[in-house]
Amino acid sequence: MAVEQVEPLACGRDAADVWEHAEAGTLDEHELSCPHCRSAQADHDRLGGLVTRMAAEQLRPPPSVLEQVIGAVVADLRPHELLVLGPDAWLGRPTAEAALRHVVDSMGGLRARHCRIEQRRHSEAGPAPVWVRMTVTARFGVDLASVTARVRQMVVSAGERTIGIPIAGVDIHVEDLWDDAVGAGR
Amino acid sequence: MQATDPAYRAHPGPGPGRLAPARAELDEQTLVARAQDGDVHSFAELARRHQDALIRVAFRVLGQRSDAEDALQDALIDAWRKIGTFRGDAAFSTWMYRIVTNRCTAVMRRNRPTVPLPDDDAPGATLVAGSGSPERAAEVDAELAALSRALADLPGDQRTCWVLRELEGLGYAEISHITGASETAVRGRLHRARTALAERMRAWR
Repeated sequence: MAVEQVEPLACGRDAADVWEHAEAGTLDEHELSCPHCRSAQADHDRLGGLVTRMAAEQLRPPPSVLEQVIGAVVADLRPHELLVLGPDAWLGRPTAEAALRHVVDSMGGLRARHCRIEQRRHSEAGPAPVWVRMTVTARFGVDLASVTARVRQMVVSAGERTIGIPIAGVDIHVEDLWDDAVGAGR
Repeated sequence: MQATDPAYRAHPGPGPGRLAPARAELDEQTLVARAQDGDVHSFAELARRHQDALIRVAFRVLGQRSDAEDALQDALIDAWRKIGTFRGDAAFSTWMYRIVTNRCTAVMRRNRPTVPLPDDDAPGATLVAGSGSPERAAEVDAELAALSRALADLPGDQRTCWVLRELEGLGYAEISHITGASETAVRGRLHRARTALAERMRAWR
């Protein structure tokens, strides 16, 4: 791997170190007076301003890139991820999960992260009950015991009213806390 | 935001009738979790947040705008397919840089027999022009174009390390994680890139 090493300067100093020191403004006495080190610094100084200008140039992809990505992603969604609503009626699982996350988000002080809906068996009479596993992040200071009980209640009720599938149970895992005062909510 | 953060202060509990936060207000971890569950809108928001950094890397590494846009598009689709494997050991941005860098490496391999001198490396349609007098701006543009050409002539692995360090401001450890090369190798490639570019710019003046 010798080719990966940085060749030392004629004075024995590591050329990459001299460059880094010039960048950080921490050149030592030798580096400031040695002609070999000074030559490395001159290289650094020559590029410095130009590189800063190149780094500051803003580049933006045209909107068509993201549009095409989203088109491909939607086409890539697995069609078998459907919940059975009844005979000849299905609901996309991600859609149902998004609806339940929205319920949690609307409560204030909570944000849904993962939401997984599992429909374990099929039923002849109507939609089989589902089990919901949800991870949430909460604002620091909320009463977690009462708020999670309320989440459970709201999710069960949304299951019946919004997505039309009875919810047999809801597991809630509070995995993180945020504090608006330090801007951690985003 | 972990519960151990010393900056915590007590906050009142949830109020009634709160509106759900817009996706643009959500933190990255929440968006990643939702995208992992298959939520396309959350993934789109992540892509929107990272696309400028990723196109910057792709454009500077590949030198051609059309190649860079293709690499970005393929990288974002890769990211969607692989997002379930993201475990949060590294920052999400590091993970995205790695995916786009891999794409760029594949494009460079494909293009290897003909390494074109980029004609479209000057600031143009997708670049926001700088400020200053027109004469000075033209001079800066010419200098930047010369640097772009010099960059395009570097070996691909050196160019990638240089872009990640000098334009994105990443450290050796992160670049090592992104490129899969050792930190010693990253340091060596970066230094060779720097000296080669300095040499070329000396000749240009």
